Amino acid sequence: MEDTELKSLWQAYDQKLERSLALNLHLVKELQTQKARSALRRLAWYKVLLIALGLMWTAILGWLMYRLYTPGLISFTISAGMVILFNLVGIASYIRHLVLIHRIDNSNSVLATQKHLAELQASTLRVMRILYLQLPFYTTFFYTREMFIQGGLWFWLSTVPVTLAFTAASIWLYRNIRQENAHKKWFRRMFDGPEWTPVTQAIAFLEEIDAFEREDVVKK
Amino acid sequence: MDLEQETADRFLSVIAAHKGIIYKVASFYCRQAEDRKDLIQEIIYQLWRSFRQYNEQYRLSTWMYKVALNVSISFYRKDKRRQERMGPLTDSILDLAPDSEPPETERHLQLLQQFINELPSLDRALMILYLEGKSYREIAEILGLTDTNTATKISRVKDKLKRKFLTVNN
Repeated sequence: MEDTELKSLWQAYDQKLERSLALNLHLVKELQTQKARSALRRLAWYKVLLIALGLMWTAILGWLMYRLYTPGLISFTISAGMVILFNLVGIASYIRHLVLIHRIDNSNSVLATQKHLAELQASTLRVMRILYLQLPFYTTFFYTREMFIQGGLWFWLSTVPVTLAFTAASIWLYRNIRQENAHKKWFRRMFDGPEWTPVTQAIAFLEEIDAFEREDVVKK
Repeated sequence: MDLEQETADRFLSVIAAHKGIIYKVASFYCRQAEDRKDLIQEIIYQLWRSFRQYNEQYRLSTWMYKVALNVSISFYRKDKRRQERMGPLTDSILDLAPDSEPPETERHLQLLQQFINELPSLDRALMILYLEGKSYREIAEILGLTDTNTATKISRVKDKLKRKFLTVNN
């Protein structure tokens, strides 16, 4: 099929639409009266939910820090303080995402808007990898000075290795949870489930956009 | 007539004059009639939201294609739960009455739709704009590409379509 044939076929389609397409003006008027509806509402609500959960957890830990503070349990204060710090980083990131969601403009170019949107969805993963760094601090909540002095073999062979394992795992996750590893088996298993589908699809779409843009740059 | 009402009426006439753009873009990103109804509703709603900020230095059709393609590509990527989000409207804003072309044209039209639907979402946008008769510069502006390379991409996608037609016709 030649170029002219493709175009005349398209014109036939155009004429068909011209003849048979009917617009329901009443429904358009109804749409004009709807307020504050956004196609991104679900994404925004998801971020709001994560902010609320983060704030709740931070408040609980803050309250526990205040109630349980004793010089003998300084490790709890330090550990809970570190967990709060990581949570605050997560909360700040999600607030920034909310601002970016509200700035999305569908009348910008297709590549710019779609990239912006896909990056916003994929960014959940970036926050997640930072949050994984707090994992070891959950194992050190109740460490005391006495445990190090009098804990004996049990402490050094069971408690400390757990903390070390969590530290190694959190650093490994922080370094490896990234877009480039999205095709790996462990990654797909870890982020398998309906709650992760939009994120993994966004990563795949970012790759499609990158390939589309890269081709553009290569040919310049 | 107040300014608000005037804007609303102007929007209605813009939609009436360009309804084909909305239907065409929606039908190439959503083949299911029920979902397409929702997509058309979403495109018109987003056009309305953006209408007040529409910059008249750009062509109206350029603005419409940007919004329609952005909403359609985003919609296409979402999962089926999107239907829960839609408003209370149950009827179609745009209805296509039965209308038959000569059998050969009808068959080719269906094939063209099928082949365009099989393209990746960004190539699909490129082809729709090309077949709509947009200039390379306008296509580049709508998609956010450099205009010098739009032609190369179009030629590549066009070849892909031609090969598909060739396979079917042989």
